[in-house]
Order: sequence, then C-alpha cells, then structure tokens
Amino acid sequence: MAWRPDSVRRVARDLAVVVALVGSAAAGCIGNIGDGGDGQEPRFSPEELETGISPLRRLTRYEYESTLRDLFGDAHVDALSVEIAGLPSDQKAGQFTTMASGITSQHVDGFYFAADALSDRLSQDAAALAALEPCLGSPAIDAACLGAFFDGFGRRMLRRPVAAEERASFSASHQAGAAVSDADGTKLLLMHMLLSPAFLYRLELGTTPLQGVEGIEEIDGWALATRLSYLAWGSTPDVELLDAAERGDLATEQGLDAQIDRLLAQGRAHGWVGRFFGEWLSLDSIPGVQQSDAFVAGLPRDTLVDDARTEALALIEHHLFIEPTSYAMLLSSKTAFIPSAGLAQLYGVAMPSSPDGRTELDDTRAGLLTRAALLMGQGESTHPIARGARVRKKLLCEDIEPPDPTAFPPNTIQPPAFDPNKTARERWTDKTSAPACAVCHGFINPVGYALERYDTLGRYRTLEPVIDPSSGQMVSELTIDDAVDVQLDTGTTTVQGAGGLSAALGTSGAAARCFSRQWLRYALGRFDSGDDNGVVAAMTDAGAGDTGSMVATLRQLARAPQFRLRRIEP
Amino acid sequence: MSIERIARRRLLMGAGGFALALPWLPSLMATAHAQPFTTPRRFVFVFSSNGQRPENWYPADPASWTQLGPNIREAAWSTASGISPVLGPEYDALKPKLTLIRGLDFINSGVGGHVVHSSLSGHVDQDGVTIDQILANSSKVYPTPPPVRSVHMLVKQAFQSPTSCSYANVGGNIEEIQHETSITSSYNRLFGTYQEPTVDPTEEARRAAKLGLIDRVRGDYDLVLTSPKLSSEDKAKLTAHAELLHDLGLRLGATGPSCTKPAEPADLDPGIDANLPEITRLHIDLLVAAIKCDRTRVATLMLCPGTDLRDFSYLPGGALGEHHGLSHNAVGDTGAAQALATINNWYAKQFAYLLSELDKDIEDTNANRTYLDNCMVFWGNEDGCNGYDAHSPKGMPVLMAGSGGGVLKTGRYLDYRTIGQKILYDYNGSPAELPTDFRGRLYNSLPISIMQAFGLTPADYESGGQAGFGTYAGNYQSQYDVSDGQSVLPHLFA
Repeated sequence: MAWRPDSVRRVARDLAVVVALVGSAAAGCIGNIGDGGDGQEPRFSPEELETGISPLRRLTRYEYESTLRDLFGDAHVDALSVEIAGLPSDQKAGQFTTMASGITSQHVDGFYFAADALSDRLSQDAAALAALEPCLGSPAIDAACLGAFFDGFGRRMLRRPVAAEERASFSASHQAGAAVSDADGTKLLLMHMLLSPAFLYRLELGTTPLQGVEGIEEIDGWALATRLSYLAWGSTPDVELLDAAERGDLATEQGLDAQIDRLLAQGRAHGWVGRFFGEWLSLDSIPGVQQSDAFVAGLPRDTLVDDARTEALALIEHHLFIEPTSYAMLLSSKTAFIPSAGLAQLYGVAMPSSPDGRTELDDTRAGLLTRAALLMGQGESTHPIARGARVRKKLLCEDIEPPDPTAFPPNTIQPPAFDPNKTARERWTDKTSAPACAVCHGFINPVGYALERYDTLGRYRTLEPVIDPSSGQMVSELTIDDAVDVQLDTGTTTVQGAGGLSAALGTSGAAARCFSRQWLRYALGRFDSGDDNGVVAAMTDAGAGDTGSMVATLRQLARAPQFRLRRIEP
Repeated sequence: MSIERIARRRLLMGAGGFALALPWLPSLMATAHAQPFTTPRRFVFVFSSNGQRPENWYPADPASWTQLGPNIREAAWSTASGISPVLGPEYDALKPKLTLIRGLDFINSGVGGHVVHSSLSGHVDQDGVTIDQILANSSKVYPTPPPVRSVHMLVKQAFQSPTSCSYANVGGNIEEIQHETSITSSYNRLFGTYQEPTVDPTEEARRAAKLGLIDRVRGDYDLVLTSPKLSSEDKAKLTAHAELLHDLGLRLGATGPSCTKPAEPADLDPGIDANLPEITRLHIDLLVAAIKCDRTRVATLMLCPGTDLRDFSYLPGGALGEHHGLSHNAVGDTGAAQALATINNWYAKQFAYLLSELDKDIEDTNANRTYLDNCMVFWGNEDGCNGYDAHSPKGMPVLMAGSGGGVLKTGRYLDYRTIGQKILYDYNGSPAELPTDFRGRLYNSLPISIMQAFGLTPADYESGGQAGFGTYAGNYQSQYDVSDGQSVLPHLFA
C-alpha cells in the first residue's frame, strides 16, 4: 500500500521548492513569542484573531508510529507490528483521519502494550540505549544520568523540556524497575514516558494570553514546532527544529519560513501530503475490481486498483513538489507516470520506455479527474449521480446529503429502471427532473454527465453499452452526450466532457477556496468554520497567480498568524 | 518491591477518585433473572449484513399458533428437518435452544439502511452506545474486573472497509469500538495477558512494578487536568483516558481462571476469497476457547462488514454475484432471492457451528447447562426482513440462542406483529400502505430485554432523562406504542 510510514521514509529528492536557509536571522531573539504586551503594538490584527476552536489532539496511529520510528529507529518499530496493529486504525472521523482524536479502551490498552513491548526491547539493547543518552547504556544509572537523559532525549520525546514534576514521576518508575533489575529500571523509565499524556497528546498548555482578547492564546515555540512537524511530516520535530524553537527562531518571520521550507523540502513531506490527497479524494478506499471477466476484458484485475492509485499519486506529487504548479494545472495536466503495462492498456497507450513511465496523454486524459483512480467504482453501469455528488462535495466543499426518503412516496429513492433505448444520462434525467428533485440534481447531475465517457474501471468510451441486469447481456450501444451546463460560482457554463469540466473548476474561486479548506481541515484536524475565512483566503491567494503553487498554499497555512493561536473554549 | 506491592493492592481496591463511573445499583426487579448468578453468563452478538427476505428466513406458517396476548403469539417448531430455506438442517439439534423473533420495527426510516450498530444501539438515525459496551462495563456481568471486558472480531475481504457494530460512551463522546480484522490481534487481546498458574517470583515483581507504573501515569494525567488551558471537552477526554488506565490496571491485576491456552491461530490472507470460510472457522474457534476459559463474557463477531460485497466464489457452484447488489435485486426477482438465500444459509451454517461448539460441553453440572445455555447468542443484521425494500428497518431479523442461564424461555418462534395491519406511509397528507410485512412492536424492547436478562436495570442504561433505550421519535411514531418499546418484550423470559 502506498500510505504507510515506510513510504514516508523514501529518499529525499532534489526539490524546486528549497529556499535558502537563513542561519543568523534570529540571533539575539530568545524565548517564546510573547504577547506584544508592555505597550508594544498588538501583534495580531482583529482579522488575524479570527480562528476556529483548537481541539486537543491525540497522536493518530499513523502519527504515533511515525513518531516512534523517528525516536527509536525502524528496526525497533518494525518489531512492534503486532502491537501497533492492536491499536485501532485511524478512522476518518468526520472527513480525515487526522480528526480522529477520540479515545477508547482499545487505544489505552494498545498504547500500553506497545510501550511495554518497545521498552522491553530497548532495555535489552545497550547500543540503542546509549544512542538515546550515552550513560543509559551502562548498568548503573544515577540521578545525573537521568537528568542528562531528560535534558536531551526527554526533550525530544515530549517535544519540550521535561518539567520538574515529570522528572520526579519518571524517576520513580525507574527506581521501581531498578529494584527488580537494572534493565527493568530503564524499561519502566521508557515505558512510563511512552504512556505520558505529554507524549500521546499534543497538549499545548504553555500558551500566553493575549491582552484584551478572551479565549484566544498564543502557543509557545515548542508547540509551534510540534504543529509544524506534524503539519509537514505527520511526525515529531527533529532536533534541528527543537533547537530553532529553543533559540526563538520561530518567533521571527525569516526563522519560521526557514524551518517551514526545510521541513517541506524533505522527501518525507511527500508521503504525508500524499496521504492528504488520498484521504480527500478517497484514493485510499477504491473498491476492488469485482466486475465480470467479460467486462474487465483482460485487464489485470488484481493490480489495477493499486496501479491506478500509484499513477494518480505520482501525478499529484509531480505537480506539488517536483515541478510545483497551481491546483488548476493539476486539474488539466496531461502528464502521466504509467506504472504498469496494465494501466497503459487501460489508458490505451503504449507502455512508456522511460524508467519513471512518464508520458503525455491525449485530451481524453486532461487532468486529475480523468484518471482511472478517480473514476473507478462498483458495478458495470456508471452512477453519474454519485460521481457528480462526489465532485461537488470534495472539490467544491458543498454539503450534499442523500434525499430524505420520508419526503417522497415509497420507492422514490431507487435508481431508474433499465431501458434498452436510453442512456444512463437519459434515465437519470427522467428520474430527477421533477421540481422537488431538480433543486439539487440540477447542480449534481451535469457534473456526473460530464464524466460519462469513462466506465466504472476508468476506460474511455464514446458509446455506452446498455446491459440488461436480468441477463447480464449487452442489448444495445448508445452514443454518449457529455456536453453539459454546469453551475459554478462563476455562473452557468457550457462545457464539453471531463476536460471542459476540469477547466471550469480550474477557474472557479469556490474550487480554489475548497482546496484550501480541505487542506486546513486535514492539517488542523478539525472542520473549518466562518472564523477561518481569513486564513483560507490567505492560503488561496498564495496558491493563485503566476507565482502561486499548491505547496505555497500549505506553506501559507503554517506562516499564518492564526497558526500560532489556540482558541480555548471553556 | 514492597512499595510496589502496596501500590498494587491499593490499585486493586480502586484508589482515589478514579473509580470507573460504572453503575452499581441494587436490582429493582423481583423477577427470577434479577437473582445473583453463580456461573458466568455471556452475551455474544453475531452480525451479517444486507438483510433477509421473509419468505426464506421465517418458517412456513405453523399449523397452529398459541396466542399469548394481544398481538403476541408463539409456535413450536415443526418436526420437519430445518426451519426455513436459510435456517437449514444444521439447526435440528439446536431447535430447543433457539428463539426466533418476528415483528420488531424501528420507529423511523433511518438513513437508507446499513446502520451496522442498529441491532445493538436501538438507533438507525445516529450513532449510539451499544448494549455490548454497556454489558462489558457492568458489574452485573463482571462482579470483579475480567482480563478482557469484550472482544470484537471481523472477517472481511482484503479490500473492504472495516465497519463496527459497537460504540461506547467515552467521556460523553460516542466512540466506535473497532473490530479486529487480524485474528492475531484478537488472540493477543484475549490470551496475551494469560498467566500460567505458577509464576516466577521475578516475573511477579515485574508485574507488580508495572501496575505501580500505571498508578504513576494516572498521576501524570491528574496533574495535566489541573491546567486552566484545557476546554471542558479536552478535560473529558483526558479524564476518560485516566479512568481507562485505571481499568486497565484492574484487568491486568485480574488473573482469571486457569485453563488450557489455545495455540495461536494461523493468520490467513483475507485477500484470497477461498480463505474466508477457514478464517471464519478460526475466529469462531478462538471465541469458543475464550468463552470456555472465561477470558471475556462479551463478544461481537462480525461474519462480514456492513454492506458485504463478497460474491461467494468459494461456494460449490461458484460465484453467486455480489451480496449487496443481490439483496437489492432480490426484491421481486426470484433468482436473486434464491441466491441471497444461499448466501444467508452459508452465514447460518457458521452461526450454527458456533452454537454447536458452545453446546458440546456441560459447564454447570448442577443445573445441567452447557456453555451455550449460559450464553445469550444473538444473530442480527443491519437491515430488515420484510416484503418491502431490501434495507428498510422494519421486521429486523432476530435469532437468539441459549437462555442466558435459564432466563429466556427457548425453543420458540415468537411473533409480535399486528396481523392484518400494514404500516402506513404518510406522504403529502395521504396515508398509503407500505408493501411491508404487518406492523410489529418497537425494536427497542429487544436490547432492553437483553440488558435486563443480565440483571441490569433502567438506571444502568437510560440516559438524558429518556425512558427506554435508543430512538423513540421518527416518521412512524404515530403508529407505535412508545411505552411498549420502553420495557422488555413480553413473554420472552421464562
């Protein structure tokens, strides 16, 4: 699967987004950001103080595993696969897995057994312990050794300095274990820290109140470093980022930008950002190919979904990081990286000879929406309503709910009946043209009809095979009409097919804002509200125009004043 | 070391203000099932999806019904082999231990079916806490903390999304309890903390030290909770975490009875459809071993995810077609209905296998009860069983097995429908008859009956000042007696 922490670990590539690091900009600036008190100018404008509520976030399973890998290395975490599998997988609570910060007994048990197993392994590996803190590798551990460990690796684990009460509590666990054996001492020390609320949750308790502002506080440099690394990597800050926080670099614009650019320039950002696209566009939940052999017609059914997903993600990565472009370009790009002969066959092209499978496709594959991964579905007949609703919900952030069956006579909410003389478009248009239906379907259907030249495996077609559901036999072939009048914020536009639809979306302000909003939701682990309009506008602006790019949209979120605020509801 | 032992004892006694918010109220019920039970009793929920068709799920109308009350009647099983096309001859030996219930309806339409938790939550319109979680956290099921409060297992194809029939109320939030899809994970959960009767003193000291550690970690959470920088929602989450840690300490301190720990089952690849029957059998065997070892008394076993999509290529005769699609086509298409019956008969065979394994051995020699007799095993579904559409939550399929230690009167087909009365569907002020089965009673009574069978009282499961359990409002509200649905099903208990 594409979205495992292993893929986060891919070798970093040369990137076009690398910006020169500014080494000395923050010299002399020490400590936290401060609140602009003492008669100074307020550091936040009223607009900048508009921000949504920040919920307490637990590390998701993905973030937890990535964090353990960064702290203790792959070998020790690879050995934990059974324990990590015992933790509940990250569900898309609301919309994204990053919103899943609920807690159940399964989480508490899972964290306990993972901590038990990991600390067991570490405590019996002198070299691994010495790597955490040199004196930890030797049998006798005194208070000075523990102090050095808390100062060094303890800061790394808790993403901030270890407080005095915590030192006492962790030391007591060390002592209790050491009464059994030296190894039990280090084991209980590590186990305790792995279960600590400061490790499992992103607590952000070191906030500073802002003068004259109720309920909104500014987070400290440590919490900002943590927000940045989980934003860019889905994992814990590295030493360099923590050092920058400690020096106060993040309180300056240059210092903050330098760290943001450094984090986004690393290859591991690709995997984490790719996960966003996967979750947003449901590329992580494409159903397996269950269609009949006759329908599949020789395509490799077992590998098709993975290959289609790989191709879509390679396209996204290319436009995000390799040759950064705007979101509109992603929606119209004909570039493709074909991973297999099977997918080449699906696209009706020869397998490219270049090592990365790069090729330029024709007009029928212009843009992300025309790629197989976004078109694959169940069954052998397309469902233009489901497709249209998906685009409107995901790309335009519109709230579309299924119709309430109680508002209609029995059996109203059923797909239209089979008719050998009508295309899917004609049957669905008949079904939904009553005024009560058309209120919503007038928006939804044209978007789906524009995609009708792609079947449920994503193959291009100009004729629709009409299949009798009772016999499974094709009874007729009808010409597909994919010219539609699509309603967007820019007005009603007549477009031809998927390419025309994609071009229209590329000029839609609502689509551009929706892209920013989806990214904000993923990054902040919550839905946006009207209070977030300011930061959404800034993100959208950053992505627009000749200099704009998708990665600039994300970068702008991290740079925004709102990113340093925490709104605490009583 | 001695400090640790003291800490552990303190912990086992339930230290400080961290006792779990478990209801512990004296039973107000004077009926037999409120008496204390000496043998363990268990609740097992088995799930399959996409509904049933009445003509294939229920037996043919019996020659005679016994009227038990207004709109309540029962029939004994026919002496012929099998019960129905779905419930085949594999149930012959089990008939005296079964209760098949007909005529339980949800008060509203839900959101289009496939509400996986509805059988256990009494909700088809929103997520709600499920009875398995209420039972798992009840001192009436566990007078002392068990090694494992509940286990949740799911057999699924590799590509299907996992779904869950179980939700818990954690700190005021309704949280999904995930089902394990890896049998290794379920095995570890059930037997990972199993302790052999003879324990090495060093190991014993380690165990004590770890229990002391849990106490200290809870102290860390206490400290964090004093911060003014947390919202009430954040505090509720951290408090719940601390309470769950406390419970974990109690469970780790519970040794449980000694038994023969089963070998770790093979974790077969669910990407190969042909493995699904064997994966199912291994899950059932593990569950039976866990019950016989009293590792847990509450389980949910999902034989497939909600909206099952498998095509049953592993059955003799080859693929039948995709389960969910067939469930829609089966409305009015006899070929599809037949295929659906074959699919549901395969699930019925798995359920019968579970029951037969539990029924093999006597658990309580005094009362001559098998493990099955001391269980309430409930095979439910996310969708209904009626003559209308595939998914409407009317006439929910309910097959119970075991008497829960003599609480249920078993060996019966119980019918709660109002014969002759169709459900009315009000559209634009003109009521039309739904082409459903006849109207029944509110489904909510079933989860209430199960909880009361385990000795729980309304105080243990009611919330928000609402009498009963689940949803009592909806578009069919005027046609049902809500107060009927706020108490147990009449004539279910012995």
